[in-house]
Amino acid sequence: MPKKIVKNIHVIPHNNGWIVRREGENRLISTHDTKQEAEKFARRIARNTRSELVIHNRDGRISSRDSYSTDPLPPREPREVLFPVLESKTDEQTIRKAVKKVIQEAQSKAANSS
Amino acid sequence: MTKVPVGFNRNVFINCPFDSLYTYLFHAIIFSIHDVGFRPRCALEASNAGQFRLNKILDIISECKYSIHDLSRTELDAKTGLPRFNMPLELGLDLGCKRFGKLHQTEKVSLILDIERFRYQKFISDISGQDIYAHDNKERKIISIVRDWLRLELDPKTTIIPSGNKIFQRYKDFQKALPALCDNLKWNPKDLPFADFSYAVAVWISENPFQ
Repeated sequence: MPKKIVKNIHVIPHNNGWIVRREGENRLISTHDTKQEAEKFARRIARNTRSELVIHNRDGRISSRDSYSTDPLPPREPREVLFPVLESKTDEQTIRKAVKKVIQEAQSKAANSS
Repeated sequence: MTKVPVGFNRNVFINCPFDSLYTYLFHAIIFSIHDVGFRPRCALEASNAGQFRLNKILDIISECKYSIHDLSRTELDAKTGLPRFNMPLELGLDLGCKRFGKLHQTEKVSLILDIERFRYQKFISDISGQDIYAHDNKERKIISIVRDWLRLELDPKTTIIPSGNKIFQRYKDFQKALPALCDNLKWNPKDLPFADFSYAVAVWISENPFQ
């Protein structure tokens, strides 16, 4: 059975108060006057849904994370490389082939010189 | 329920000069953004579309959670004697989007760059309180600033990214490969289209995983 994706719970500043919302959703779960209240409420949801609680600063930056996931040691993986959404003028396959060719040439040059 | 647009949380809007004197820093920013696992976007996309430029810029701003604004080249233009207002204008549009936009857009975060850390106080003091850093016109420094700033957004328990020094070394390796790449693709190294360059960077990074 496919694993259910658990969405992180965020505590975010909004206007003069704080909101709680699920990651990737444009709908808030609750609004609060203080960060403390928002955090308490969000922590309960994160605990119940076994998700991660992500708390932001007043400037929007992430200040801390607390995981309630069932997986205590999730694997650490290198970041994913993202490609442009915009279409390039040169065909993408052509760019890909050229980059690979240049890398191979550099590698064989380095191997020959060592 | 309205969904947050796909890619919003990984898109970085670059608001900087696009002239030849700034290209070396622009390329360093693009490389750093890709190597940390984000996607660079900028107004140069607008020149590829038959759309009113300002509308296109507004669309890009609305699709990016992160934005990097470099105000280091707002001096008077040597030829016209007039200041360059595009960067401060786009910074204002971005801050406005954060303040008046949709719920997810209120989470937008901005990094402001200049040559000196507190110079902005002399010409755009209203932005105090934002993240403002000085890059001293140096690639190594701009790469580290961008990397450290974006790093905070990734979960260190699950994601590994290269250090600032490592990214700089990788960028130098990429620069060494660039002339041969331009030869292969018949690109003019002094006039690289943004999307093509960004794509080549992304391919090079994915073919060269960091150790």
